Amino acid sequence: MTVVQEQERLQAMAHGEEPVREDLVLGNPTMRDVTARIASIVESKITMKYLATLSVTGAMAAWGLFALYYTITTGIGVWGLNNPIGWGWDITNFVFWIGIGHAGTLISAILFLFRQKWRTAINRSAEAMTIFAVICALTMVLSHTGRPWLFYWLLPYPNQMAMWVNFRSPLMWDVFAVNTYFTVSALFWFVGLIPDLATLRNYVKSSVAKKVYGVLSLGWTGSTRSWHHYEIAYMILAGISTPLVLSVHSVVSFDFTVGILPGWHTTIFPPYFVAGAIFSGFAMVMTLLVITREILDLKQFITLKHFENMNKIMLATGMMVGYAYILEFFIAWYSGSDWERWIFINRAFGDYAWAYWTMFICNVVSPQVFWFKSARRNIPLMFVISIFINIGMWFERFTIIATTLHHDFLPASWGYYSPTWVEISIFIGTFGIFLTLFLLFAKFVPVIAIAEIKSIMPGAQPTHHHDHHGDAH
Amino acid sequence: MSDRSLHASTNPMWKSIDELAEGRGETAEFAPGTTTSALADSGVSRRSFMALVSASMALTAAACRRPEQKLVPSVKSLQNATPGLPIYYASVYSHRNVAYGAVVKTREGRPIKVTGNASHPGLVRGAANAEMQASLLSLYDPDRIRRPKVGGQQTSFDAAASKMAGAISEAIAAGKKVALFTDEHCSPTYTQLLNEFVAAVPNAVVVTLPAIINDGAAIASKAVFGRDAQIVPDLSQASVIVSVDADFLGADTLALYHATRFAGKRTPSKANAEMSHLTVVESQYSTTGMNADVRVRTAPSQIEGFLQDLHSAVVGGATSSNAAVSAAAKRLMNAAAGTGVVLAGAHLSAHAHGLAIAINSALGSVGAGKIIDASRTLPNSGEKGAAIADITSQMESGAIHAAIFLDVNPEYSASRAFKNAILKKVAFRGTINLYDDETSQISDASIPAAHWLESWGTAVSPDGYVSIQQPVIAPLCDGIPSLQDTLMVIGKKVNAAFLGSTASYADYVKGAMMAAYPAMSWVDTLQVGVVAGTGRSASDAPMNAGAISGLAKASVGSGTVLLTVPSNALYDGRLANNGWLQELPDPVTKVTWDNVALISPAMAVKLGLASSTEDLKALSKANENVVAITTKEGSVELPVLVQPGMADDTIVTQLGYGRTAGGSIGTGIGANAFVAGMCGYHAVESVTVTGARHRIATTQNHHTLGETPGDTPNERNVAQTLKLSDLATVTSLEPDYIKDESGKPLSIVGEYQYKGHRWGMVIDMSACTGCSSCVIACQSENNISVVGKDQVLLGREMHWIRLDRYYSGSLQDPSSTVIEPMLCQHCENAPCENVCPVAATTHSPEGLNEMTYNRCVGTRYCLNNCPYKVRRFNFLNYKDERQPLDLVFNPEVSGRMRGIMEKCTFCVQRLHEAKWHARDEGRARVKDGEAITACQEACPAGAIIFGDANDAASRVSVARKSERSFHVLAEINTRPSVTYLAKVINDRA
Repeated sequence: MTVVQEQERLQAMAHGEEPVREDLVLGNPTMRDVTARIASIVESKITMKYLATLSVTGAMAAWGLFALYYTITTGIGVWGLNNPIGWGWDITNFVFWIGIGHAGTLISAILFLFRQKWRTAINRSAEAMTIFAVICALTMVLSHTGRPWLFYWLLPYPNQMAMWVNFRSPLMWDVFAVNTYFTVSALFWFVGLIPDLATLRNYVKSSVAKKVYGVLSLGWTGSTRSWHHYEIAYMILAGISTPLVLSVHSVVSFDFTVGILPGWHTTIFPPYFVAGAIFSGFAMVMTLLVITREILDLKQFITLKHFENMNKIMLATGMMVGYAYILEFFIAWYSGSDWERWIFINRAFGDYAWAYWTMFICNVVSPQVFWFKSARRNIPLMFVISIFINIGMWFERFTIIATTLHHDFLPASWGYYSPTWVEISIFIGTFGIFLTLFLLFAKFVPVIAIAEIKSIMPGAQPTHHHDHHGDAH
Repeated sequence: MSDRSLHASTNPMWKSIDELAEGRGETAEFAPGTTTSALADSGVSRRSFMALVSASMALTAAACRRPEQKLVPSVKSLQNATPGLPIYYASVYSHRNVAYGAVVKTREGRPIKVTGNASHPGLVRGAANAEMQASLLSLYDPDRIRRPKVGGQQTSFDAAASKMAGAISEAIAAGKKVALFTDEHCSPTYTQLLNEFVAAVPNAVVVTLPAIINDGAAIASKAVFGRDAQIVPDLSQASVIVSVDADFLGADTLALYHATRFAGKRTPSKANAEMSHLTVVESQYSTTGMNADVRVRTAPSQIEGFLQDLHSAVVGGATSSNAAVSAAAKRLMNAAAGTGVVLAGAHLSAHAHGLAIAINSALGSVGAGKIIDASRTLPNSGEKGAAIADITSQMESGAIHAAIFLDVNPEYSASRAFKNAILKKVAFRGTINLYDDETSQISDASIPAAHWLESWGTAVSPDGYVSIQQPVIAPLCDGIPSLQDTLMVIGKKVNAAFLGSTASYADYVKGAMMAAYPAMSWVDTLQVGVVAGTGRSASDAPMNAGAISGLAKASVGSGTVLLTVPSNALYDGRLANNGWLQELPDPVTKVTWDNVALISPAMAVKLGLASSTEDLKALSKANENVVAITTKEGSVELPVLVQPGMADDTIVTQLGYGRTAGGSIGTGIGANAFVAGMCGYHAVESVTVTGARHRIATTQNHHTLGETPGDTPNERNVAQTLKLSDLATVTSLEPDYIKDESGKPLSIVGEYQYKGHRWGMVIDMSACTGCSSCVIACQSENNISVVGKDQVLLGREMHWIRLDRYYSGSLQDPSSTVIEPMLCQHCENAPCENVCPVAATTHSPEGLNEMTYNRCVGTRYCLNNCPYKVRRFNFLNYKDERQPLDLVFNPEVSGRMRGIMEKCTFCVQRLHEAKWHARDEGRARVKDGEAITACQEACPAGAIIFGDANDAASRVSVARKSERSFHVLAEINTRPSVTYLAKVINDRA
C-alpha cells in the first residue's frame, strides 16, 4: 500500500465506512476477460509438458495399484505390520488423506457462511482436493483389512446372515462419517460447478466437449430463477457441510480415543485432530496452488492476499496442534497414570523419537515464521513450509499410531515396526491417484469458480468499491 | 450323525426286521457315555478291541491317502467307531530312555493329539512334554523317507534288507564284527531282541550311542552303589534342593518327571506356608535357574569347587569363606532328615556326582525310598563313553566290517574320531531310521523306520512301570515296518533260526510281555497303558563312600569356556524337522529357529561388541554378531545373544541345531555345536568376531534387551511376586480403587449375568516352571500354524499361549525371574469386543470371549486394543499345504485363512464336548474337572486350573480366592476371566 492509499483507508474508516481491502483480483479485468481467461485453460491444446506430468503421476498411481493388487492377492503380511502393531502406514495414510480434505470443506462451507470473499479464488481447487483426498483415504481404508473383498460387511444392510454391524465400534462410525463426507463434498462441489460448466458449454468449440459440458450443466440457463434456486441450494449444502468439518475428523479421532491404550485414550483428540486436519489441508492446498498458479498463470486471481490469509490460518492451526502436543504431556503427568506418563516419555525419547521430533519441528516450529508479514508473502518460503507441514502432519498420525502400539502395557509383547516397499508403494500410489485426478481437474474443469469470482470483482457489487469512494450509486 | 440315525430318531417306523434290529442299535449309539474314551470304557472285550483296532486301521487306509478318497458312504457303520467321535489309545512315549505314558487321540483313524496318560503312575492328568506332543507332527512329516535305498538308489524293502544281511554275512565270512548302534531307549523288549540278535549273530556287538552322552552320574553310581546307571532323584520329598549346574526342569529328558514332583512343593498359601527352597548354582541361565529362590552365578571353573566346598561344609562341618556355600549348607543341614538334596549337572564329572551322593547321604537322603534310591534308575543309562571309545578303536583297527545304525545319527552328532572311523575304516554302513539324515546319506543301504505311533513297543519308566506302545495308525510310508521288524527280517536272513516262528515284532512284544507277566490281561493292559503289578520296589544298596575320592575330576580351566547343552525344544536334534519344536521359544532366551552363543554383558564388552555393560542400547547391538568359537575339537560359528545372569567368560550354546540333512525344515537351522564338543564344558581356544551378522528370531523383546532401564515388571505390576515371609500378611494384590465399598467392581453399566457356566482359569506362576509344554499342547489342539523364522522375526508368531519372561534385578545377575503364561484373558469388559465393526468377536453367555472366524474381515482393531496383546492375526496363509500334514489337524477346530484374527478360545470345542457328555448323562452342568483345556492338560506342574467359576466348590473358584490372586492390568478394569497367583520366592534363611 502506498502512503496515499493508507491515508485513504484511514479516512474511509474515519467516515465509518468499510475498510479498504486489498484487491482479490488484480489487473482490473472485465467480466468477459475473466471468463475468457479461465475457460481458455480448458480450451487450450494439451501440451507435451502436461502429458509428461500426467504420465508420471499416472505411473505413480499404477505402481501403487499394483502394490495394492499384490497386497490383496497375497495378504497383509506383505506389509511390515506385526502382532503388537496392527496398524501402520495404512491407517496413518488414511487419517492423513482425510485430514487433507478438510481445508476444502472449511473453505467452501465455513468461509462461505462467514462471507470470506477471498475464498472464491481457491475454493474450487480446494474442494476438488477434498474429493480426491477422500478417494485416497477410502483406498487406504478399504485395502487395509485382511479380507478387503468383504468390505460390504461393514455396511448395515439386510442380509441372509442375519448379521447386523456393531454400532459400538468407532470403525463403524468411521464408515458413516467418511461416506457422508464424501457424498456431501462431491455434491457441494458439483452444485458449485453447474454455472461454470454451463459457461464452458457455451464457450468450447468441440462438439463432443459441448455435449459433455451440456449434460453436466444440467440445462443451466442462467436465468434469475435458476440463480435464485442455485444460491439456496448452495447455501443449504454449505450448511450441511459445516458440521462435517468438525465431525469427520472428530469421528476419525474416536478410532483412537475409544481404544484403551495409553496415548490413544485421551479426550483432547477430537479438537486436536480437527485443528490438525485444517492445518494439513491448508498446507496441501498451498503446495498445489503455488504450482497451479505458476503453471496456469493465475496470478491475477490467486494473489498474495490469498496466500497470506492461508498462512495466517496455518499459523493459527499450527499453534493449536502445538498446544495439543504440549498439553498431552501435561495431562499424562497430571493423570497420575504410570502408563500414560511412560508412553509419552517413550514417544519423545523412545524408539520412535525421530518420528516425534520430525513431527514437532515441522508442525510447531516451522510455521512460526508466519508471524512475519514478509514470510507470509514469500512464495518460495511458504511453499517449503507447506511441504514441511505435510510431512509433519503425516508423522503426527504415524507417531500416534506406531509409538502407542509398539510399546503398550505388557513389556513382553513389545515390538517395532518398519514399512515394507509395498506400503511405501501404496502411499506413493495414493499420491499418484491424487495428483492425476488433480491434473485432470485442472485441465478439464474451471480451476477457479468463474461465476463466484466475478461477484467479488470491483463493480460486481455496487456497494463495495474502494477506488473512488464517495461516488454516487 | 448319519442319515440312519436321523431316520431312527425322527421316525419310529421300520420296514424290515433288520432295520428294526439296527434301529435299536441307534439309541445305544448315542447313549450316555459314548463320548468317554475307549480307554476308560473297560467294557470292551478282547475280540471287540481287536475289531476296533483293525477297523480303525481300515479306516485309516481310507482316510489318510488323499488320492484314494472314496465318496461311498459307510452303509454299515464301523463297529465301535462312531464317525465324529474320537477314540483314545493308551501308549507310551520313550523320550530317549525315559518312558512317559501317553494317550493318543484319534479321529476317523488318524492320531490328532498326544497327551500324557494319567493312568501311568508318576504323571499327573495328561502331562506331556513338548517333544512327546510334537512327535505327532513328525508322524505326518512329508520329509520322512518313504523308500529304502541301496547305494543312493531307491529299491525294495527286501533288496535293502538283503543288502544289510549280506554285509553281516560277509563280516561273518571275513571273521570280522558287525556293530549295531542304538540310541538310549527304555524298552526291555528291544533290549531282549538285541540280545537275541547277538546270540543268533555272534559277531554282532550292540553299542549304545546317543547324541547326548553324560557319563558322570553312571560312573559315580557304579563306583558308589555298584550300579552302572543314572539314579533318578524323587523331588517330591525334597524341601531343600541345591542344584549344581543341573537343569532338571529344562532340557533334561526327566524334566517332565521332575516338574510334577518339584511343583507340588512350590505353591504355598497362607494356610499352608510349606514351600521347598531351590538354590541353583550355574554358569548358564537355565530354565531351572529361572525357578531358583537363590541363584548363584558361578564361573564354570568354580562349579565343581562349589560342590567340593559344600561337601566340606555339610559332611566335614567346615566353614566356607564363600557365603553362597555357607548359606546352601546351612539350608541343607537345617532341612529335616531326608528332605535335603544336592543335584549335580548331568555333564559334570563323576567326582562331582560322587560328592553329591556323599552330601545327600550325609543329609539322610540316600536309601530305600529316599530321594536318592539307587534302585530308581533309568534304563540303558550306564556308562557309554568307554564302549564308544572301544568300538572306535576297533573300527580304526579294521575289526569292524559293517556298522548298522538303528535310529541314531552319529554322522551329525558323534566325535570327529568316530565319524572318521565310520567313513574310512568300515566297509559297510547301514541305517534304519525315520529320516533320510546325515548318517543315512553316507550309508550304503538305508531302510525307513516306522514312527512310534505306527509301531509296537514297550517301555519301562524310572519307577519301573512297564507300558506297551501300541500302533494307532498303519504305517504311512508305504507300509514300512518298525525298526525292530526290520531288524528281525535282517536277522532271519542272516540266521534263519533267529526268533523261530515269530514273524513280527508285534508278536514278539506280545510273546515277551505275556512270558514276563503271565498274569497280565493283554487287552486290559493295552487299555490302561501300564502292566498291572509292575513298579520298582524301593531297595537299599550298600554304599561305598570311599570310592568317591578316586573318581575322575573335571578340569575346566579358568579361561573362556564353552558349555554345550541339549536344546530345550529339540534336545539332540532328532526332530529338527518339526516346525512345532523349531518355533517353540526357548524358555529363557525366547529364541526360536536357532541356537545362539549366549554370553554375559561383560563378555560382550570383552569381545569388543559393546562399550559398556550398562549401555543397554549398545548391548542390544552386540546381539546377532556372528562369532567363531574354536575348541580343540573344532570350530562353530554362532550369533551372539547377550543373556542376563550368565557367568562371565562363558559361552553357552544348544545342541541339536545345524543339521545338514534334517529335512526341508530342519536343514540349515542354526549351527552344529557338536562339532565344537559333545555335551559339557570345553576350553575355548579362540573366539573371533567374524563381522557377519545373523538375525535371531526371538518372540519377546525383538532385538532389544530391556531397553527401558528401571521399567521392571514389578514396577508395572504385571507379573507379581511375593516373598514367602510376606505371604502371611498379604491381603490383596490388587489396587483397591478398582472396587467400590462393597468390594464390587466399579462399573457404570450393568453386569453380565452368567446363568449357567461361567468359565474361568487360574494360573499359578509359582508352580509354572516354564517348560513350555502348554504351548505345544495348544498348537496341537487348536491347529495353530507354524509361521517360520522370517515371520517370527517380524513378530508374527501365532502361539495362542506364550510364556512371558521378566527378569528383575541387575542385568549382570538378575535376582529373580518370573514366567507369566499369557493367553486370551476372556475379559468381561473386553476391549476387543466393542471395537470390532462387524461383531466378529463377542461375549458368550458363559463368559468366553468368542472369535467368529467366518465373520472377521481383518481390521486388526481388536489386536491393537487388546492390552494383553494375545490376539494373533493371520498376516499370510500360514498353512503348510504339503501332504499329508493336513491329517494332523483337529477336526473340531476350524482352519483359519489369511486376513483373519484368532486367539485362545479356552478350548471351546472341549467345553462343548464336556457339555454334550453331561447332557448325555442327564446332568445340567459339567462336573468340575470334566472340561479341561489343552494347556491345563499338558502342564506337568498343575499351574493351570480351569473350571466353572459359578460353581463355588470348583477348584478354580477355590483357587481364585487365594490371597496370592491378582488380575493382570486389573486397574484398566477389563476384568479378565484369568486369575493369576503371584509367584512366591522362598526367602527363608
